[in-house]
Amino acid sequence: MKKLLFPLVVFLPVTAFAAANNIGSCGLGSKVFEGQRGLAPQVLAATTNGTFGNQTFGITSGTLGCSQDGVVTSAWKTAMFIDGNKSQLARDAASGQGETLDALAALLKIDAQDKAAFVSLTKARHAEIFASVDSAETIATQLKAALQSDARLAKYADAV
Amino acid sequence: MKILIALGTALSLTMAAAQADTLADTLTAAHDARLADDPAWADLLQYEPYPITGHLRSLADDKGFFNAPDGARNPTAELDATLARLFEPARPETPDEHPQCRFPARHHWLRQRLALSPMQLPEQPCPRLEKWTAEINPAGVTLVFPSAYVNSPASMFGHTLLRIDTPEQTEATRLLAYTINYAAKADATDGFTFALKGLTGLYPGALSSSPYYAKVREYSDMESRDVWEYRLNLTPAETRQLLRHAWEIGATRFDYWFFDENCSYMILRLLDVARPGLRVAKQFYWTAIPVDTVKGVVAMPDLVTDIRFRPSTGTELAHRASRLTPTSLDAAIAVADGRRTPQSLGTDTQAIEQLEFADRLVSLRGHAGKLDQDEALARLKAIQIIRSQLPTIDTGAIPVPPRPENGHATGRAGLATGRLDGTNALFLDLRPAYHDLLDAETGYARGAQIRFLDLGASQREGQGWRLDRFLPVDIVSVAPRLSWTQPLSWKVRFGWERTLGARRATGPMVAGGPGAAWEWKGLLGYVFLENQLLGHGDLQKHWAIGSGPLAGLLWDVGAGSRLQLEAGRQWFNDRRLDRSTARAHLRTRLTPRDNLVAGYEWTHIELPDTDRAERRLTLGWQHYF
Repeated sequence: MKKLLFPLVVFLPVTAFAAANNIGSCGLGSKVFEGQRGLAPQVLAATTNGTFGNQTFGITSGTLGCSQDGVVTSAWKTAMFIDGNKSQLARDAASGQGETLDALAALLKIDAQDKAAFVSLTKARHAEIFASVDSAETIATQLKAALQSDARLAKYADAV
Repeated sequence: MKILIALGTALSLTMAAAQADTLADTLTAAHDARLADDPAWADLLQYEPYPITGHLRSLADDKGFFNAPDGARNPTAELDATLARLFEPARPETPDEHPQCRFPARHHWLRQRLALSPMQLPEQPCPRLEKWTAEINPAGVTLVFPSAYVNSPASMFGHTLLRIDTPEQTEATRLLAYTINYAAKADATDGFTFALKGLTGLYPGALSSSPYYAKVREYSDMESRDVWEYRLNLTPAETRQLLRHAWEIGATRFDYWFFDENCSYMILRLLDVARPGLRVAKQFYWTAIPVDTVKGVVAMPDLVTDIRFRPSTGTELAHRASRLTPTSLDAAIAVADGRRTPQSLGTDTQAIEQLEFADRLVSLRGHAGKLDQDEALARLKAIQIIRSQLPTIDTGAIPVPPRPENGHATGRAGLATGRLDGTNALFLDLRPAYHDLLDAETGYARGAQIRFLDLGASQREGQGWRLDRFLPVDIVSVAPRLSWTQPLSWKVRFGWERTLGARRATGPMVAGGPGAAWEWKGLLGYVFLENQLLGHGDLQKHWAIGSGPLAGLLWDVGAGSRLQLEAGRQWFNDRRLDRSTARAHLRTRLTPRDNLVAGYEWTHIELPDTDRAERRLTLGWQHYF
């Protein structure tokens, strides 16, 4: 059984998401809803400006998961972006406009002439792409599949 | 062969000798140019003069930040030691540990000022630093100021960070730029420990970077704080120097102090290093309140080139609500509540607006923890599936509020004359920071009050000055309830007050409680349950605990005036102490820095042995500084 699994693992597409055992170390899987609840966090915010957000890296902190010295390793940029903007992306895609949708298009290097097609695609196939908004991995997999199935946008699928 | 080796040895010896000569020459040149006295060198070492003596000492609390043993206090020794170390031979095994890589900003500045060529001082490779800089891809800098969020006066103190903009950055890609953020590295889990350690410098400060989108999500969605972006005119070269200095700071320990050595002060110091001669941090030697530092930056000639407003989820929601009729707003709220299906709204433009409103409301509640995550996600999905089948619409521009730098200065002093308990009296007030309910709202959050170290004193005819009030912290949040949100108002203050009337001494106390507020045509009304624990020698048990209602009204009378009316009553457990108060305060703006204030306060204190009322009447002048 192990022997059978091994080649499968090797031949999975080498995208950021396929390297499944790295996801935990990348700090992916951020909560969709986070917020300051109660008085204590407010006092914290006021007196230390302490941060509690994800994807914050110390400068010169060395290699940590998918960041190095405070910047996201290139292979993980799209994955991290999707993870950090899941619910915003779902909202922007549904309404067919918005900043996170624009930024995602820029990350996938979508040409200006294909931008409208990309926006239409994420709107039309919203139900599949955002089937589970709490999983960045599902969003990315579904987005990739949607891009692949579109003749015009298939060339951008590898960027996801 | 031997000859070759001899030749090689001779060559390397000559090179070493030449290097030593170059170092000696460089040191002489540096002394001749008086580089150690250059303010830019002081900025690079984070030197600051001591308050009285003027001696320099560095804010860095880390020996590793210096090359000379007394580098933290001796600019000349540090300059000499730094130059010597920059000339150290290459480290092929661990290139990143070379002094040129550990102190890249100093290296860059010295190389420029002394016009050192790569022949004189060989450039060492710094792979980690180079990779980091290349990934950030710096071209310019934006100062980012998240302002206060509704119902959290504590956040009004604010925060600043920097966004490093990239060369081909567009509106679409600015979310992907990196930020440089300085914050306390907090570890405690309870609010009081946080506050105490934050105020007393017991936390180390840490410089971190994160993509701007992570910060936007944090401020706009999680905290619902509007964000202001001030694009600065720093050149790509200056921005690179800023990053070099951030790299040096990143590996250094600094103690974090809430009022002065805080986020905003570090940000200003980074700007000072980026552009020698800017010296914007100097204005904030004693305190660096974030909004004040924004004012300082905006006041520098030509430094700010563009200002953008980024509305929070809460602000956007209010804008969306204003576009709906009361009936359609109720229907949209019903969808967000799960009492009505998204389909039932229909398919016209109004329905689309309602769906988008409901979507945002569910998100806001999800972030506020008022809705279970799975429930919120299910509602969002139902709304978005319907929304995605309808066309894209224009939802109008969100009105831009007055900019924070146009608000009043945060310090305020007041002098008043009047009558207290039947005699003529003088009154002095000092509020070092920050904003209260009577101040003009421009640039501040509506209904929010936060006062730090508030002091009040009075002198009655024929008597000396007496302390009436000292409140280290005094926070009030008057958050109006709306059809789509019902926030809890709250207040808390502690310190010393003359709770038992003008004839008795001040006593320690802590007070606070929950409340509710409503807004009607610009009139803000509120009620609180005011609880108070106080200590006083004249009390039977030397302490008392009490509670009671307080109601108030804030009314903007004309453009520059505001009236506050309050009345309350409290019953205490001690000797049947009973206290009633009524007060009226009016503030009128004379100039942007000056107010005329009038006040009337009536206090009735009932104890078994006393039953008396006293009046306090004041007319005075306030000045912001």
